[in-house]
Amino acid sequence: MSPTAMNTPSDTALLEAAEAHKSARRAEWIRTSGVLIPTLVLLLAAILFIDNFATTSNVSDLLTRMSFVGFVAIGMTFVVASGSFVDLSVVAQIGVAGVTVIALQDHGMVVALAAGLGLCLLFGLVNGFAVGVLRANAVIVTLATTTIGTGVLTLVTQGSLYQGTNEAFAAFGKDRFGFVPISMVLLAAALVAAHVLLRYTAFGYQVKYTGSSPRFASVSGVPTVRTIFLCFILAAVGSWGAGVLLAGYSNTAISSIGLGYEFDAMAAVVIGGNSLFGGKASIARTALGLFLVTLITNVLLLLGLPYQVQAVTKGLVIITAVVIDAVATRRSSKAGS
Amino acid sequence: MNSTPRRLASGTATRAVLLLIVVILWLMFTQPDVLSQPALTLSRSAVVGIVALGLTPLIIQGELDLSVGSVAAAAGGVLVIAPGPLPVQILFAVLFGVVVGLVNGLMVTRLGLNSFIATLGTMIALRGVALMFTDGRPAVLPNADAGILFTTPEFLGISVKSWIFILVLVLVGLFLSRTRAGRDFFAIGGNREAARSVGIKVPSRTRLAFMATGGLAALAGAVDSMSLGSADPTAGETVLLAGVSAAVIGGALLTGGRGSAIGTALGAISLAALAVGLGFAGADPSVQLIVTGAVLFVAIVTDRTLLSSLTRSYRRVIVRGASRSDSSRTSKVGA
Repeated sequence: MSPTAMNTPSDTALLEAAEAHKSARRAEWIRTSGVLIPTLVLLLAAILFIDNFATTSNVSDLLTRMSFVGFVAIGMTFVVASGSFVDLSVVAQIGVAGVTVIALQDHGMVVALAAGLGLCLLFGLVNGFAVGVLRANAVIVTLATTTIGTGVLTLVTQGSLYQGTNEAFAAFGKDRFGFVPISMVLLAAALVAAHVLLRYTAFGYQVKYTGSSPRFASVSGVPTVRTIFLCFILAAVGSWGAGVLLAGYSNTAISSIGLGYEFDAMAAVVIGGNSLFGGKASIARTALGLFLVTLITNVLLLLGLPYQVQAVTKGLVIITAVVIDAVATRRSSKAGS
Repeated sequence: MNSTPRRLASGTATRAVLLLIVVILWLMFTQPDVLSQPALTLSRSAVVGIVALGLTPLIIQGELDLSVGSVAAAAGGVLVIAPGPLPVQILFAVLFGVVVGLVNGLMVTRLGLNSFIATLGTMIALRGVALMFTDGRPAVLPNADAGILFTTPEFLGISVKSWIFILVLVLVGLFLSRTRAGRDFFAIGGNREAARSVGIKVPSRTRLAFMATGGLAALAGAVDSMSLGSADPTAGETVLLAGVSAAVIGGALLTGGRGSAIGTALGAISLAALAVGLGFAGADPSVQLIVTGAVLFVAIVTDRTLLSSLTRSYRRVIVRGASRSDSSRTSKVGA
């Protein structure tokens, strides 16, 4: 594609370019409408047909749940965008963050918060090293680190439930402005910051470039190893935030509190229309997906469906989103973009 | 170039043999009782071994199936709800696994999905299916009495469960080394484009591998449930981890092109010996998880190609002192 290699564009070339552009636009449309239409339909149906949906307490619950998943999903977006598929170790990280912030409260909040952050960053460093430097498969690496982490946490805590003693922290965790929980306010700020980071900064470009083509990114001078490292660090910070808020909300913590968050976060990222093949990602899309995932969870819960039906539904939603992503990616790659 | 360490490191089953030696040495000094009962270890390794042997052909092709744990758990559930005598039920369970494998395979070959992503979706959905089959809790099998035979030593002091494992090992081993299709698997994993250009039907081979993986995972789940007499819908979580660990330690390369049935089986047996030893030592169950996770982590980062790429990039960093135009990262992330 260097200028010297290009001939004068003939009519056919122009037509091809126009066709490619149209095809890419169609792919984008599939991605966006694939999430927007179901969200609106489901939202409308829930408001009309489910009695307890449009109530202050339910909306507040929905937003609370959304904020926990949201922090994980932000980090996950960066990991996926950099081409690393998924960070499964967020489960262990949320558990570690939640348990330390509650169990170490007697040593002061600063210690409790810092200890959790430090341990989560350790996960990020190990994942980043194995995936970035050693180029090991991210799914397998994070499967290993989450198993080790959860195992150690279970061993240390012996599966006991910790009760918070710091009243200020407990009050903060439950605080809300009207029906908006404080965690949602924090999430909104984090989403805006992450959106700017991914969309408008050099780092954001480096993440997406690394994800779309590590080889070309590397050749054009992108520090790909550092970029992958930082993405896992961001995932660690996000999981830490989710763990702290989750523990703060209930003022209790147990080693298994992070279970299921990896899939919900993953679902938010994919359903929002971010490409799992890396490279194409936006926090705005993640936010859209996040809302839909939380909405689905909330509706399934209000309908009183058993857990197994919820699990199957969520799995099917993820598969559908993944298939839409694949179709859209095919169209845009056919378009040559 | 062909120094002994390098040749050793390039042997497919080397790391599995190394791990087995380390585990045997550890057992000799701490839990010698385990070594006097090899049949127990073999029996313990059967379920994970069958899953791992199912994964091996798929990994050789450069794909992975993350849903094997959920398939195994759901297959146990099939035994609870399927009609008929035990053999028919087992057939149903295996068929279920094959169908799941076909769905995974179609998602990968028809839609061009990355197998890690496609099977992550089926993994989550099937976890729910497993819970549905058993009504959300461990359920007693209707044919529990017939299933108990699976753990009692039957022939030559070895349990039925272990015989199934050995049979699967022989079949997968022969398939990979002695059949045309098996050799195609290596060709596909080594270089997909080249395999396609020499006329190998890559999509159908990939679907075959997915179906075999699903079927064997279901068989493993059925065997597990039968030896327990009940189906536990949450049993699948550790099966995935241990299965992938066994295959990776056994020398299967996640980027494809390398792996062997015997290496995978040795990997599964080493992990089982480790688990039995930890059990005898009275270790907390979570210790076993930690050790399996650590073994997987070490196995994946000590892969020969990964290590050589590391030394390469290390050399680059040094060279970069002189001319800093090169970068350390050249190959694709992940698989």
